[in-house]
Formats: sequence, structure tokens, C-alpha cells
Amino acid sequence: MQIYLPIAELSVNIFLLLGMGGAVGFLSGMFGVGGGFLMTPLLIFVGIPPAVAVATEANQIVASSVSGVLAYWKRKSVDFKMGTVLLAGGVFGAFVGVYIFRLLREIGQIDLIISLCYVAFLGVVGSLMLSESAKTIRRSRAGLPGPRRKTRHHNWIHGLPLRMRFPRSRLYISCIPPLVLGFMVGILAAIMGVGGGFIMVPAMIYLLRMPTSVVVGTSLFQIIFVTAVTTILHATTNHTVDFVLALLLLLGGVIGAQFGVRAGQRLKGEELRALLALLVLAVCLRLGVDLVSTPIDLYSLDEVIDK
Amino acid sequence: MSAQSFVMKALWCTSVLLSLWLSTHKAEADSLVADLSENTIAITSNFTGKNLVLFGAIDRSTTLSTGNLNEQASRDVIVVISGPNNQTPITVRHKKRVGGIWVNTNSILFTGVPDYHFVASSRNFDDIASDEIFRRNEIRPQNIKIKSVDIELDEETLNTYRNAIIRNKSRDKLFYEKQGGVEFLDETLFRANVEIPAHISVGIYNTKVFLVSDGRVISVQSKSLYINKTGFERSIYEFAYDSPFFYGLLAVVFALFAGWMASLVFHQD
Repeated sequence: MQIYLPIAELSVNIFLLLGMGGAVGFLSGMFGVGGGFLMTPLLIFVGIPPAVAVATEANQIVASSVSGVLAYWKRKSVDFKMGTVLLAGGVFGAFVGVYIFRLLREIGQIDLIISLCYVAFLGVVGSLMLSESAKTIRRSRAGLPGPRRKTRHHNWIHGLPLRMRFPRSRLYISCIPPLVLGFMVGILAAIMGVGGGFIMVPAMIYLLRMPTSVVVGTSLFQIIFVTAVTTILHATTNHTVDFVLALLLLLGGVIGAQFGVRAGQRLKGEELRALLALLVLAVCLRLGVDLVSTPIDLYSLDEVIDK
Repeated sequence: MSAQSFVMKALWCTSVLLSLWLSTHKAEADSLVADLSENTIAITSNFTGKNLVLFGAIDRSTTLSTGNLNEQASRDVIVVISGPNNQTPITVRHKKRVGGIWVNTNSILFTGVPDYHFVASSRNFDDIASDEIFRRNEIRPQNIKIKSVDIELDEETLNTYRNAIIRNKSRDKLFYEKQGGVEFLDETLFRANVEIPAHISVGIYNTKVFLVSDGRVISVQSKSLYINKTGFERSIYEFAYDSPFFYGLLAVVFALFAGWMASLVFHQD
């Protein structure tokens, strides 16, 4: 059954969209990730214009982050103060990101930049995750204990001015690093149609030295605001948020996530990470191949954006 | 199936009536009458394109009475549907390999490119008339007057880009040429099937039916075809363009609500 998407202006099989939402929802439930980095490339693969895919996915992430953050909130594992500092930077980053997005669209480079960003980030994050989880798996098979994380070690970040107290994370650090981190991830969120959790979470652990227990909840909390702002900005500057598409993805995603959570509980953490890493690398590879393989036509048509 | 045959019967009857009407109004009649099976196409949520039937009749006696024609003269019909009328300029971009990766390098802005251009003829174009006639009436895709805003470009570059437009549009079935697509049912009645693809733009399209005899256009009939979004799709589209801020805000509020609902339903712990 085909459904016509009013903003993307094409008709797509409704079950394909629900299935994609379900599959990505399943994976995001299983691995505890937002899924934006999988959904946006998938949407592009099925022929949704990249600009619409990015903006619509931002809208969907708002919903999935809300349902995620509520669960963490109940367990008191959200650092609202840190989240607010991050999102202050993030919202500003979203403004800059959407501006860059529009600029790139006008000069006809947006598709290329989206793909390049994906290949670079997925490649780096995927390989790091794979090597880390492979090490852990080998170590646990050999019966050795996992590596001890260096905690409370002072690095250059702790020498910066404008220090703030974050009681929930038991941190007393400068507010500049979280602001800058939020800003950078905000730009990426707007350009790539992701929440940015896959960069935010490692950065919070390794750079800000936040306790692992509050990292995911806090990341989700700030993602809600950054993607909400991104959605509104894309809607006003690019007219690329497809409500019908978001609705279908959301529906499939919500259901898929429930099954994913259950499936995820049966696997070990490092096995999950290894699987996710392989998935991330597969998407990266596919996008990379598209960048270098000869297109069907070297000339393409592009509608001029209304000024 | 039965609906289709009903439509065909209805068309047939209309055509017969048309020809009767033509034969009784010789003096003031046009030498050509044609119409589409539908003049308005509504794009709804299950829109997957549409097949229209254009049907019509030519009046041989009128064509004869115009003078130069004789009984043996060939009579051909060409149907052109093109539009929409409010064309926006398009950018044609050329990809080149840069460090192994395909990158858009040069681009040229063109105006006068219809989003959709359909043409069907009763015989091969070469047998109907000269290229000059086609060019003057912008009949075939390559006859469309596509202009560049940049006047300093040489003709060869422009032609490469123009051909790229035709090639891309043809691949998407938005430029569509059907030689022999107009079918004569008898001496006077003709019909043509028109395929409207799913990814067509909304707007007003121009339908033109040419009657060509001995390489000369002797009659033209024009009609408008309206393609609109309706219902829910239209509301969303208009909302998104007329008040984008509130559209975005509503999308966000809805997502917040949906996320909250999902956690209520599934996380009861």
C-alpha cells in the first residue's frame, strides 16, 4: 500500500516505512542508541530527499528521546544541571548547523557533506567500538578482569576558568567544555539528522569524566531540546519536515523499541557493542561506496530554493 | 475492470456525440474537438499516478472546406501536455571526480523548464511534419525553449546541459514521448492514453491538441488540466509553507506527546 508524503512529494510503501521504523526502533531499544544515524541513511537509500530525511528524523528523535528520558528520570539518572549547560551550547549549535545546511543546499553540496559526515563519524566511532569490544571479549574469554577506568584524574579540562558545581555528576568543572561540546554536537545534529548521542556519550565519559550512570539520561535530556529546536528551524528555513513521514517512523519505532529492549537483555554488553559496531561500519561502507561509484548521470537537476 | 469498460463506453458515446455535433454544426465548428477524461486530478494519500484518456474528433468536412486540402491529404494529431504554468528555475549540476569522490562542480541556472512534458502523436514525428513546425510549437522535449540566465555561456556547453535536463526528466518519466500514442478509432475519432506519474508537481497544466495536415498545423485546441493536493495532504503542505514556525512547533509538540504516550503504554514499571 502506497502513501503519498506531502512534503517529500513522493509516494512510498507504507509498510516499508513502518518496517524501517520498527527495525531501527528494535536496534535502538537493543543497543540503547537513538537510531538517527541509522534511520537518516536508510531514508536516503529508499529515495527520500536527504534534506527531508535529515529534518524529519530530527522530529522523530524528539519523540524517542522523550520516552527514553522518562525511564532514566524515574531512576534519578539525569543530571539536569549538566544537561542544561549542554543544551545551551546545543541550541546555539543547532542554529549554526541549520544555517550551514541552508548554505550548502544553495551551493548544491548538501548531499555530499551529509554523506561525508556520516562516513567519517560512523567510520571512526564504529572502528573504535569494534576494537574496544573485541578486546573486552578476548579478555573475558581468557578469564581476565576488565580494564580499570582511570577516574578522578585531572586533565587540562579541569584547569579552565568559570567552574561550576554539578552535584548529580559529582563534578566541579569549568562550564566551557560542556558548552563547546553541546555546540559541536548541535551543529552535527542539524546537518546529519541525528541526536548525536554516539558522540556525546563517549565525550561525557572520557572528556568530562561524568559517572556512567547519568551519561545516557543526561544525553537524552539535552537531545530533546536540541532536536526540537532543529525541527522548528528546518521547518522555517527549509520546509523539509514531513509530518506524515515522521508519524509513520515514530509508530514503527515505538513498537520496535519494546522488542529491542527485551532482545538486548539476553546479550552481554560487549557482544552488543561489537554487533552495533559492525552495523555502524556496514552503513558507513555503503555510504562510502555511493560516494566513489559512478552515478547513473553525471548531471543532476535541482530545484532552486525559494528565497 | 468493469469500471474501466464503463469509462470506455462513456468515452465512446461522448466521442460519437461529438462527431454528430460536429457534423451538424459545420459552419461555425472548429475542425477539432478534444477533451480529457478528467480535467482535475486530486493528489490524495494513496496517489500513485493516474492514467487519463484524451479523446476527440476531427471534422474532415471542415478541413476540406478550408481550401487547400484534398481528400487524400494526411491528417495527424499530436497531443501535448506540459506544465505547470508557474515554473520555478532549476539548477543543473555537473559532477566530476575530485580525489576519487564524485562532487558537484559546475552548475547552470535554467528557466522555462516544465516539470512535466508529455507528447503523443498519431505517427512517427518525422512523417508528420518538419522539425521547424515542432520547434515553433514546442512539441517534442528537445523543442522546449529552455533558457539560461547566464548569457556568456557558449552554445556547446548550454546544449550539453540542455540534453542533461531532457535525459534526467525522461528517466523519471516526466518528459515522455509516445510516437504512435494517438490512435484513430475511425476516420474522425481519436484517443490517447496519458500517464501522469506519482511524483508530478501540483499546478495548472496546458493540454494542446494539434491537427496537422500535409506538414502544416491547421488547428490547435487548448485546455487546462488542474493537478491539486487535496484533503489531509493539502492541509499539511499549505500549513508547512504558510506558517512554517507553527508547523514546526506542532510537529515538536506532537512528538513530545507521542514519546510521553509511548512511555506510559510500555514502561509501566
